[in-house]
Amino acid sequence: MRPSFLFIPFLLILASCTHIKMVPPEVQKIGTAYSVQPSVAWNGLNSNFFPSVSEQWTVDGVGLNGIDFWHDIEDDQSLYERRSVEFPKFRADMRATDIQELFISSTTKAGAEDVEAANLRPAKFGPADGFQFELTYARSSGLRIRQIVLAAIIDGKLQAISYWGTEQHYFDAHAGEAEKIMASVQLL
Amino acid sequence: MGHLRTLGSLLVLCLGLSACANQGEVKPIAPGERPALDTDEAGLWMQVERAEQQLRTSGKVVTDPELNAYVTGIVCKLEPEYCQDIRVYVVNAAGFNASMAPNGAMHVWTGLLLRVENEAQLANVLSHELAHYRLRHSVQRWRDLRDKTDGLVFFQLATAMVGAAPLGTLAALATVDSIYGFSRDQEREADDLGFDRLAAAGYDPREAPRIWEFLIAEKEASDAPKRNFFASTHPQSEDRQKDLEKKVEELGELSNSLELGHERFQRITKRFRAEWLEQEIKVADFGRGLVMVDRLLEQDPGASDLLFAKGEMLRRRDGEGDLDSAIEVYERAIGTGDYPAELHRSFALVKWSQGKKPEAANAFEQYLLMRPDADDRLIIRDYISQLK
Repeated sequence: MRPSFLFIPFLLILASCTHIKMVPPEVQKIGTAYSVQPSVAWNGLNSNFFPSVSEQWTVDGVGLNGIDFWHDIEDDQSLYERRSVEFPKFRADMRATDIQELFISSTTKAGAEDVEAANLRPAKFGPADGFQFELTYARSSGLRIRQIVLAAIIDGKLQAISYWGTEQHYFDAHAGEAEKIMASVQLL
Repeated sequence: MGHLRTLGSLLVLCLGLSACANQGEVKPIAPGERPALDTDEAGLWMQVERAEQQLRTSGKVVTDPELNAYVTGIVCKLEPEYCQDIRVYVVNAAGFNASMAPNGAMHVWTGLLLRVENEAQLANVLSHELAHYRLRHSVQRWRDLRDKTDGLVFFQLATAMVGAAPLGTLAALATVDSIYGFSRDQEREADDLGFDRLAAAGYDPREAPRIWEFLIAEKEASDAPKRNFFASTHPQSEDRQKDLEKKVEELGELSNSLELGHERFQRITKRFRAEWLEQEIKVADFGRGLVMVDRLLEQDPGASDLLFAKGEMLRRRDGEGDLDSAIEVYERAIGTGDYPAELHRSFALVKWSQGKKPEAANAFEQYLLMRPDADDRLIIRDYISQLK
C-alpha cells in the first residue's frame, strides 16, 4: 500500500512502525530485478505495511511526494494489499492499456477519488520496451495529486516505478529528479 | 488532514459529551426545529455540519442544477413540511447508497441513481432516509451508545471506521453517519414511516420492495471480501424486503395508475449514465457490476452505453468465457451505430488476447480513425506495428 492513499490514522500508525533511512545518491538495487541511480539523497521507507514487492522513497515527506518501486509482480498479484479490499490482479498477458487500467482501479480502490489517466505512450524501461502514463486524482481532503508511472512487463513480470506528489509544489519540486531516476534503470 | 480534523473533533465531542446529563426522551423533530444550543444534540449537529462543509468543497458533489432540483423536488413532494430543513447532496460515488445526517444533510450517491429504475424506487429510498431525520434516530442512537460506552471507546470506534472505509472523502461522512448507525428497530421504523409517506405522496408502493431485490442480488454477486457497506448499517435485506412486501399486501388491491415517474426519471438521469457506469468500472467489483448492468439491460436492451459497460467489465474480469461474451456485447453496441471510439480499442485488445491479430489491428485502426488525437495514439500505433 502506498501512503499517498492512506487515511491519516493509518499514517499515524504507520509512522510508528516505519523506519526511515537515507538512500544515498548512488546505484540502488530494487530487489533482484533492476537498479536505479538517484542524483540526490532520498529517504527510504521500510514498513511492515508495505508488500515485499515494493519500496518507497520520499524527499519532502510521507504524503507530500514519493517514488514507489514495484519489482517482479507476478500473475495474480495486486499492486496494493489490504485485508478488507479486493484489489485487481496483474496478469502476465496484460498490455500497456490493461496496466494503466490496473493502476486506475487499484488507486480508486485504495481510496483516491476522481482518478484519471492520460498520455499512455511507449517508453524504455532500461533497455526493455515499456510504457509510461500519467495519473491525476484527489485525496479525501480534495488535495490534487499528480503521478507518473513507468512500467514494463519483462518475462511475464511487471516492473514499475511511480513518482507522485501534490499538484501544488511537491510534484514539480522533484519531477526532474524522478525522471532521471526512471532514465537510469538498469536490468539486473 | 480532513480525517484528522474530523477525528480530533470527534474525540473532543466524545469526551465532552460523555460528561453530559441524559437529555431525556427523543421526540420526532418538528418542521423548522433546531436543537437548543446547550444540548448534546446541538454538538452532534455542529459535528455533522463540519463534515457537510467538507463535502460541499470536496468536488464530490454533482452540481447539475436540473438533477439537484429533481431530487430535491422528490424530497419536497414526500415531506412538504420539512422541505426547507433538508439539503440534498448528490454525491459522485459508485455503489448503492443514500444516507441522512441528523442536521438534515441528505447524501444521495450517483450509484443509487444509476441503479433505480424509476422515480418511485428513488422516492422510496429518500422517504426512508427522511424518516430517520423526522424520528431523530441519530440522536437516539447516539444517546443509547453513549450510555453504554464512554467517549474514548466511542472515539476508538470512529477511528477504526475511518481507517477501514476505502471511500475517500465519503469516509469522513460515513464515519459520522455510521457512528450513529441505526439499530434494526430504527430501520424498521424508518421503513414503516417511509413507506407510508411514499404511498401518501401518490407513488406506487409496489416499487418499495423491488429495491431490495436489486441490493440482495448485487450483494450476493459482489467480489468484495468484506460485508457490504450499505448492508452493514441495515438489517438483513431479505427481512426488510419481506416486511415491505407484507405492507404492500396489507394495502389491498392497488390502482395501476399510481405514479412510477419512469419517463421523467429516465429523461433527467440518462445523460449521466455513461459517466456513472465508468465510476462502477473503476471500482472493479465486476460481480456486482455485471448483475447491475444485466438488470438495466433488461429495461433498456439496446442501450449502447450499457452494452459497452458490460463489455468492459467482462474484458477486465477475463474469467472463463468472458472474452467471448465481451466480443458479443461489443458487436451489439457497434450495431447500434452510437458508441464511443474506445469500444474499438477494447474490441482490439480482446481480439489480440484471442490471437486474432488482423482483427485486432483493424479495430485499433478504427479507434484511431474515430479519435485521431487520442492521448494514447502513440501506444496504439505501437500495438498496430506489433500486430502487423
